[in-house]
Amino acid sequence: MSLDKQRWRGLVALARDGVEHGTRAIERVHLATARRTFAILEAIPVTAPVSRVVRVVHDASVKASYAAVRVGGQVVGEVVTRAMADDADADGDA
Amino acid sequence: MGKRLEQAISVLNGLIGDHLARSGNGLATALTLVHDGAPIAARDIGARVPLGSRAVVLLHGLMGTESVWAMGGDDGDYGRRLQADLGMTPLYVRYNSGRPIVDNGVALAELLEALVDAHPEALGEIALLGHSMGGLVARSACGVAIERGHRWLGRVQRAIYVGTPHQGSPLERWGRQLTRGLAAIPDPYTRLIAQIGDLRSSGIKDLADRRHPVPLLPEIQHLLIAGTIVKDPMLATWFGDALVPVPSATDGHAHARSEAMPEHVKVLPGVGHMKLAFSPEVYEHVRAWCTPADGIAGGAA
Repeated sequence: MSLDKQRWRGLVALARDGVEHGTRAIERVHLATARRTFAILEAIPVTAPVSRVVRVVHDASVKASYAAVRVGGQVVGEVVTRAMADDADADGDA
Repeated sequence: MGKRLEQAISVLNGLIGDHLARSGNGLATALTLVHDGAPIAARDIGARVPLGSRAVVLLHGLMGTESVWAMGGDDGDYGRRLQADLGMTPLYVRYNSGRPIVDNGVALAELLEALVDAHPEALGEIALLGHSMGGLVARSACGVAIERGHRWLGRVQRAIYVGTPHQGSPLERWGRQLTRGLAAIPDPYTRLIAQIGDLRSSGIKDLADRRHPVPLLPEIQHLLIAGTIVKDPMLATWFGDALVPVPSATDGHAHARSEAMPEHVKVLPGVGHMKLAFSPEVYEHVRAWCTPADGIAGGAA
């Protein structure tokens, strides 16, 4: 017995959930780890001004990167789900 | 292939089945009767499965399916053997073991009520047989039946719990402490590990409870069977069948070193947690417990 369509859809949904929650968890770790380094640099008067700017740019780019992965995961999941729905409709029409 | 696929899905259900059920995921297993590996409606029992006056409802444990009963070969399946020896109809239940135990208890109670509705005359006695978490689900179902006035409970005379953690599992309690400890450390990596650990299902987390909310009902004859993997009495008490300690499996009635066991408590040395589901030694106790006092077994209708 192979996976039926309901279960395939479930597997796709689970993969989407995994990408969504997984990227959020790793993003939190990424930002928290970077925050420690920036906190040291921002405590040093010489590097503090530049460090603050770099931190803002870094955090924004990190958030954008993970968001892009999440959007990509959603798009792929949606495309696969719709393709499976179309396939099911075709089976129903036949 | 089919059996392995179902087993893989049952493991997934055991791990994150509450999430699957909440999100309406197609991989979530609904509690259902199963015949020849496929779900079967309660109303179809009788037409497709010859129903005797006595039935035994078999409930697998965490991350399991009904195939756990046949891991020692079809000949060792307690359900099939009870059918051959005592004419009892085996009714195998499959469920999402990641859902809260109480939710599975509700679903089981409703299923058994539907079964009695569909066969009010044919079904005279229902025996409950649960391996590991399956026994806790059976207890929960009995509590639901009392609350809702279900008729099936009146037909239950015997309940058998095989390796059931009535007083919870220390492994889950340790796991809970570990994830709490990791979460309390102000470090993003340990918190991530704690978050991953905390993803485990509600069904697993329920195994930390030291007391089941539903008592063992006095109107039912309960048989409690525990296994031990080591022979040393002290070690056997605490390690039990590798997953469930003897005091938990016997609901506090016995330790492995207890010399005088109550009649309804059996401790079997050398039988591990999984083997409890298909051990000839366990079956002998199950059969004896299910044999009517008058020695007359029910046959198929």
